[in-house]
Amino acid sequence: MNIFLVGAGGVGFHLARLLSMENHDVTVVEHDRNILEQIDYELDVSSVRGSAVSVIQLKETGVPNADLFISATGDDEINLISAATAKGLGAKQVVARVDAPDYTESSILLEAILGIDYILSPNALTALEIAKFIETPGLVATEEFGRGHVQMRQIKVTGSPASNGKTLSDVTLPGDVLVGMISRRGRSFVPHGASTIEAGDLVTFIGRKEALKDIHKLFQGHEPKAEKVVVMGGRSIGLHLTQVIEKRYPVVKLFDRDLQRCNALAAQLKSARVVCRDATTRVALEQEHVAGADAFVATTRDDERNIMASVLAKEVGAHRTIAVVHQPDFAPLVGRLGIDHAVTPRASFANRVLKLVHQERASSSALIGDGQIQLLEFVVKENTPILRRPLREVKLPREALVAAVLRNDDVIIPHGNSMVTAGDSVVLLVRSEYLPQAMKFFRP
Amino acid sequence: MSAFGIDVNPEAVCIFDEPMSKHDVLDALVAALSRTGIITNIDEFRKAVHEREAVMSTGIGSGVAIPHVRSASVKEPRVGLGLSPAGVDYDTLDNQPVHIIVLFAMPSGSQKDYLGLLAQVMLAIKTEGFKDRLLSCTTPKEAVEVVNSTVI
Repeated sequence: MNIFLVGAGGVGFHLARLLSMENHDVTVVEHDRNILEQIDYELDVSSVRGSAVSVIQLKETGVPNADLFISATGDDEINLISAATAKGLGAKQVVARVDAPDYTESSILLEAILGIDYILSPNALTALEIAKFIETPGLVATEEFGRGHVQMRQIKVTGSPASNGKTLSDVTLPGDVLVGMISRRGRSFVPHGASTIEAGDLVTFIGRKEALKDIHKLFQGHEPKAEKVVVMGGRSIGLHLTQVIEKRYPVVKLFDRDLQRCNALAAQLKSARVVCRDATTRVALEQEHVAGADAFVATTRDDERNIMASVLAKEVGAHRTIAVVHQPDFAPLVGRLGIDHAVTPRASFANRVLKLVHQERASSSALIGDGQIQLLEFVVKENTPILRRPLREVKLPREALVAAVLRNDDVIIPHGNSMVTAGDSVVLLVRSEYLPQAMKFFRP
Repeated sequence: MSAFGIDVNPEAVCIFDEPMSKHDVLDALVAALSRTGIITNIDEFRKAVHEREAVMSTGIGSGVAIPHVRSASVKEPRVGLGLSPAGVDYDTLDNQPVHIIVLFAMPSGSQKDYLGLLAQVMLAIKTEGFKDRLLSCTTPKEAVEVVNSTVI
């Protein structure tokens, strides 16, 4: 694919990195010399110094031939203009990153007006992920495959009967469910029968949708429904999150230290209480009764503050803590500091864009976490190496797995003796770096 | 004049009494629209609808989704309407189930009509009481009457 990406600050850079790993033809347009230098040093992409909104420059750079154009600068208006320009110049599909709630609310109309294919908001997507995590404790991500009959659930395991050092072959999973991947301390692996699941692991389950509902009971202790949620930081992620959850829980408090912003927030919110205070001090957390909170979420733009506040909130007695972490390198640290979950806006954005990229070759796809793990659903063709032998005998890379087979309307969760036939759809679970190697088994 | 700016045919209305997945709801609406004879290639149209949803949900919040596709397989603008009192898990940004699904089929290149109709549907949905009246309908005929007789 011929892909143009405008703006390679945090959000754009992460996306550029993922795209370049997949051997696409990627051109990055950026005006900041320091960022350009970093791109040339770290990534295998073409880079051009230029403006996101100069029609002539975009044309000169080759945007009219783009299969995909993404504007991901930190400025909503620039992104909207840039994406509309690219579409006007002839780019096949265009995506604009937009974060202001006023825009995201009416994004469908804006798309129609400007001819933009997708308006995506990293902040709104992040808020949604957090809301889901609070509602179903431990649920980090879900994706659907096989016309909605197969589901992937990524779950953060807490201490529970099924995870107490038992090997996987000793754990009775519901029928039609398999453990696809285990991520532990920043590393992931495809488990086998002798592997164990430990508290703190991030486990990717795949199976028939109905069967997966029972998984939480096995790998999470009993979790009462949340009643009190505390959010720190009232910019777009914090506001969006609070608006989503304020109707749902009896007590929702939103902390922000800026008085003017607090006044504006109070006017926009219905039942949530706005507290104009810095939530990174122990006194504030104690006086505002964060001790009894079922969830504490830190959503400011500053990773260090988010991490510190979450650690403090846990100390004071908050049950679960969630930190927004903009810099993906920090995410593994978060677990080690006892914070329950880290959410990374640039990853949420990139994972959606990659779905669009993968539509070329897969009917459904998902990237999970910071892009380490991929799931792809596609039809298996005649005369491919995967056919006519038990899966056990197919030497897929160690970190790749056929996680589901869809034959006509049947869902098969395969085991070693299962065979794939031409015309089946399969869901392949693979660590991103092994994807090219794994795909060899599906090519004639 | 209809509340949606375009008349809705009874055969393009689906009432989902049972809880259903987003995928099945969209398939049912695509099939319903196709029965009205405006779709030349149903597989292509269905694929376009699902591909759009996979990247970003068309749920606009408050229990409403507006899946919309402009495609060369559509002969003329048409709207399909799905009602789900039980609610559909739709992966929306407000994390709420969707009860009303308005599927938009537009020929490619119909920029002006498209925008006008989309805006009209969003306006209708925001109109006090309209959503509740739609959701209380038990037959496609009733739903069509509510849409086609409401002036926004």
